[in-house]
Amino acid sequence: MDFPPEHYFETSLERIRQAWYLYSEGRSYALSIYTAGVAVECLLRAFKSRRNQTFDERHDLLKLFVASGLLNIDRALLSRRGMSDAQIDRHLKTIDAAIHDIFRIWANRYRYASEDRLRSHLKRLTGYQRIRGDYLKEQNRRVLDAAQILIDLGTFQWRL
Amino acid sequence: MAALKSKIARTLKTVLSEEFPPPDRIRLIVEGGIIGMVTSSRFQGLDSLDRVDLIQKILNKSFTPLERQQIQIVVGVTPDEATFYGAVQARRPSKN
Repeated sequence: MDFPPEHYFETSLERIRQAWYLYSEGRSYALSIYTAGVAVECLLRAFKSRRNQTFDERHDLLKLFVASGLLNIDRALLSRRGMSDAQIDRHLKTIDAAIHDIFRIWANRYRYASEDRLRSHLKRLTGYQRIRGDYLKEQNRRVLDAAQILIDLGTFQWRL
Repeated sequence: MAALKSKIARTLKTVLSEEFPPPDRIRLIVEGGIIGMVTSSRFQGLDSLDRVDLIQKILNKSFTPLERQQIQIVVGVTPDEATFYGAVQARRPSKN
């Protein structure tokens, strides 16, 4: 099955919507986290495949991010669209931080993780942060927020 | 362009190594652009925006805006996060 760039882009929007649905459903935080990462991966593949159809990066989000060229944006183009230098800097910094959030936590193999297993894993990985309520639910929310930022900003750049 | 990228990568390695001496670790990948990963316990307890701020301050001190464009991203991770990333990358990658 071949996926043209536009398909990857549309699927990224579908996946983030599905990830939010799973979060709201209340019993599928592990799957929601996985799906949020897939949404981001689809977005990065969309940008990457507009440049080059091969995928050596597999599910390595960091390499895929670089290959997507999402940060290789023409500042002059954003300026012509009415963004100030400060707004452009904030735009790029927001993308950078969102990538950090996803990269630090997400892995493709989460599709095999149960709720309990992922909860334990993320507690260890994130250093047993002081979180009220369900730890996994809160990590899910954070990953979703970061993924949504990336999808929103990526959507803006896709349409430039 | 390739020579410029190599020069920037070498400078980046030096700058990051000075800011994050051992036992912190620096890993650079030069592929398309320059990707960096800094492993340091200094990032413990810092959220992503704080990590980006810290790294950007370091990069802005040492590189011109034009040189900065060659550096795609430098991520800051704790040792636990780096171990997790390394474990994930060590597995056989699945096909598309």
